[in-house]
Amino acid sequence: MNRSNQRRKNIAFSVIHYLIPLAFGGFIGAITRYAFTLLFPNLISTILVNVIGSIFIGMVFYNTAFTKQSNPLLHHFLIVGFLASFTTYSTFALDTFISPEFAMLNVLLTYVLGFTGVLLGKSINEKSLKGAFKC
Amino acid sequence: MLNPHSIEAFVLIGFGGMFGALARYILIQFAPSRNFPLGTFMVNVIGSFLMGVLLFSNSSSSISLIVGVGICGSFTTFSTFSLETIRLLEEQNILYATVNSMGTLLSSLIAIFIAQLLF
Repeated sequence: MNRSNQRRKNIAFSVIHYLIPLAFGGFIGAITRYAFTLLFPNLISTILVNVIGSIFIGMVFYNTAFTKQSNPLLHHFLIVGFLASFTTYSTFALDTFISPEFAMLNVLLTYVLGFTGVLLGKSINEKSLKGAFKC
Repeated sequence: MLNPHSIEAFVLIGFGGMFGALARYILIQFAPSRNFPLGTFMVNVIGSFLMGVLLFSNSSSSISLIVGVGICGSFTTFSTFSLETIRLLEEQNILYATVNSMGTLLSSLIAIFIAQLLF
């Protein structure tokens, strides 16, 4: 009796703190990415979302206010939901595959700017956000 | 026929994205990712394959929008991939970082190539 109550509580916690924020984040992430594809030409929009998403994930991942332990709801909404859905690997891979003349440039730009984006986000967090989002 | 600028297109892509994000989360939960981010690796390769299937099977533009932009776009992720690669570098694990970044790219391109052969 006690154990099944505990289990029910755990499931309710997961749904409220993990799954619903994640689903909501995925919903807005996909729509925001789509808005970018309407505003910018093909290859450029994918590079833009992936680099911007990498900068933001660097900013929030290294911030203690957004960890899975400190705030599971925000963590799942922002990192696992919104930013993961806003950025995309499949479109990047397909772009690379179907436009051989830009393949090298596309991979180089996405990888170099994406990886440095994470580090840039991390340093933005360390320099100016640390105090701002403490909880 | 779905008008790409309509509110319907945005909402359907949103629901596709919701579904893709949940599917990604479930797959990553079940993938053994102790030292190497195998879950993210897998979703990116599987999603790229599906994207190739969509392209080479000449799906309608509405299906491409909902499944391609919505589901596959959200199922796969670049930000988690780049973060995990940087995390591996920070742990001085240059080998895994290289395998992750180059392996995801090569496997995804091969997956799309297989989709082209099949469809």
